[in-house]
Amino acid sequence: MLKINNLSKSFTHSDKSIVKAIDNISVEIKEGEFVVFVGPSGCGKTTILKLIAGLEKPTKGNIFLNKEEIISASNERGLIFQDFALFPWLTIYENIAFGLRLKNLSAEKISGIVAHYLKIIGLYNYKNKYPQTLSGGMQQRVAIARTLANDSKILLLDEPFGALDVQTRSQMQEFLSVLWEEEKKTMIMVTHDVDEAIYLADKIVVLSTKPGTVKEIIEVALPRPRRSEIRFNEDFLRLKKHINYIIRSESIKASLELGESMKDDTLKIGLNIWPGNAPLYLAKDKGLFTKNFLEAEIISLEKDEDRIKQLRDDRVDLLNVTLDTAVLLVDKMPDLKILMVYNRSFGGDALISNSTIESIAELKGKKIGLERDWVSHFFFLYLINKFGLSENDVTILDIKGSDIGSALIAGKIDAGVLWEPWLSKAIELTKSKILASTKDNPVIYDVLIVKKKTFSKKKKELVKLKKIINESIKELSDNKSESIKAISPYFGISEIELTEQLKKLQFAEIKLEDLKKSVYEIQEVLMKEKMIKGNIDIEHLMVE
Amino acid sequence: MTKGKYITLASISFIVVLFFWWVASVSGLVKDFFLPNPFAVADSIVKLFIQHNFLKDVGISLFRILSGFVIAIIFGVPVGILIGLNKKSEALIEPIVDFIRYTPIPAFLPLFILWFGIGELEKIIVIAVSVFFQLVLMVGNSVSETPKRIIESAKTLGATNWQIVIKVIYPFAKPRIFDDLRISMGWAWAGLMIAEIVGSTSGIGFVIIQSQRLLQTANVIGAIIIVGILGLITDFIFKFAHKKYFPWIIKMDHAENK
Repeated sequence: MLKINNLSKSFTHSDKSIVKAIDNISVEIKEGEFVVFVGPSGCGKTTILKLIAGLEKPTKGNIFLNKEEIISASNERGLIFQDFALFPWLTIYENIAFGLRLKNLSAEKISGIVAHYLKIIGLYNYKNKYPQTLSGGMQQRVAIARTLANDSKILLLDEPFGALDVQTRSQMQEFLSVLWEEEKKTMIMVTHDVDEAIYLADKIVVLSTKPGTVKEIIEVALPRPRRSEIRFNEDFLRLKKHINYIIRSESIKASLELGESMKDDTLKIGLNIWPGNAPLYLAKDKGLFTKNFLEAEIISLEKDEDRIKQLRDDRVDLLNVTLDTAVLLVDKMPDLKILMVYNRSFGGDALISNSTIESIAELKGKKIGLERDWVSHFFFLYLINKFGLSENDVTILDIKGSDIGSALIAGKIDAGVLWEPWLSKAIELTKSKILASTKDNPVIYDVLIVKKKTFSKKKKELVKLKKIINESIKELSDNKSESIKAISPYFGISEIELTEQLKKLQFAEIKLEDLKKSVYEIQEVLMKEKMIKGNIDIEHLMVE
Repeated sequence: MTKGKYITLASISFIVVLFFWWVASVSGLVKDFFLPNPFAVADSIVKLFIQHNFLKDVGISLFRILSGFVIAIIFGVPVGILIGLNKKSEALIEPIVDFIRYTPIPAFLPLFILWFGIGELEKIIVIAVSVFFQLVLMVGNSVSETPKRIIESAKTLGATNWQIVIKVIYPFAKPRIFDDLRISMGWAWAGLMIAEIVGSTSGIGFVIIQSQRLLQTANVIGAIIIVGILGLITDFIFKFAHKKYFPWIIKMDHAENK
């Protein structure tokens, strides 16, 4: 039994910054079990293997193998690398014999063992060749045989088939599967290939990224021996969807990093990294700020709490929020104003439910997943208000947008409010139903808010900014595919995905008179839920 | 590139140099005293061997260079490996080696004569020292290039630190170290010339300085050419041995070029 307890590992870079690779990982691995760690790149998968191998020392936590703590490398735990790491100066035979020679076994014993494994991997006739002359798949078989011949109890496989072509890859997966069934060794593998993980594993540990933490541990109950056809099995596909969903949400999250401004005199725009802000990212990418002689800087923000603090402390001059949040904030901080409303969600936010729920009225008493005190929360209140329900009629679970889809698949919630980029993932991967979206409930708008004081101080710049945003909106619709190509990296999604998501948004500068109805509806909901005191004079919501 | 093509191109460069040399001396552009024409030099090489027993000088020079070189290898390769193994030993050894490496060997020569006299020992030490400090750094660099994954593989196969040095790092670095030896052979020749030009009564270097004193420019050039030819021969031997002893390296290059 291998016990990994609260394992953490940090690395110190040459500039003395400390980066956490993995954090607080605990997993138990039984003898003879096949365990696969999967996760997006940068989740510290290789670090875990090196720690188990004893090649690295944990910063915190420990690993016990049969009640003995792992403190250094040993032949008990053989490591197999993606690039094989065979000894190029030794023949295939000598490579496999390497560990045996270290143990000073007799020549007959060594040749017996080596011949046995050469036959298992089907390379007996290649025994006098040098590894570099063999194909990748053959070399990896030699690396596996080298570890097996050495009588390792545990095989650690670091993306072992990552460097192979697709066909060789699936052959090698079958080879490893059969080998595992025959040898009954404990195998611990890391991979980013979900398909490979399910095909081989008894247990899958799904990791989150930066730092790597255990997101979920999944027991794979598929029957053995497994043949390639098992990939069409319904359970296989269901698992694959589930794991893919988690990993994709994780890699999207990884691409959204927090930023902080360095300069003082530039106009600092705090933005949510989401496609609704496409015009601003496009303006940055196309150099529209510089072209219009505006010194502006985009600061990508993520969490709402420090967002508002950032504005209060003047770390950003402008902050992107939704219209409902703006109304809420103006009620609390009367020195705030809306500078501009530049898009409307047109299906980009939605309330989705599992297939048994047909309408919003049926939500009474159900469990709802959403991000509390955030636009999804407001949107939900807005929708149930229409049906005469209130917050007390349902159980609200505070779940991150990236996790709502998997919570729905897992049956932890009955419905949830989701937005892009996670909405389309959830619809694609679950059998959920859209109960309502912003397509028929035009109430979510992106706005930029600014302090009155800042506005009077930087009026000229802010007027310029509005002009630039309008120019960028025009550019976005005129040169759609080119613009999408330029900005999709900012959102960490593919061009196709961004194109789809932008269809659910309408970009244009929206004037206050056209917003009156929405603002009125927002105020009504917020008052009913006692989140604001009274009506605000709509005329004063926006800067002149 | 094919072997034939390689040899053709290499020969062309030699012929071009010879041609310009011939033109410069025959046209009277450079006085015969300073640069005798190629045929006169060829003539003097033959005379050196037949009339002046030059073979004996070549022999004594080869003995010195070989002895000095072997001593440098015996000390230089292990120290070089030590530097390449880890940062601690590198910090301990490399700066001092660098310091000495940048002080030219001729500057040490008077000191060596003072310490060791002008016999064979002094000459061999001059050669060994010229090679040692260059070799140490090259070997250190070659050793440190051993891929981390190969070392890690060996560790998880149960190798101890000592076994990793002997059975992994050394065999992997061996062809590179061999190349380092080939390159340091140039330093050995430089050391030999310095040792033989100062305070010597035999050897190729002695013949060169003696001919210069007797104003026999053709002999000077002839002896230099012999040194060049001997250098080429040692280089060829090293390359041939490299191919013979490290067949896996050639295979590796092929695999990479594929």
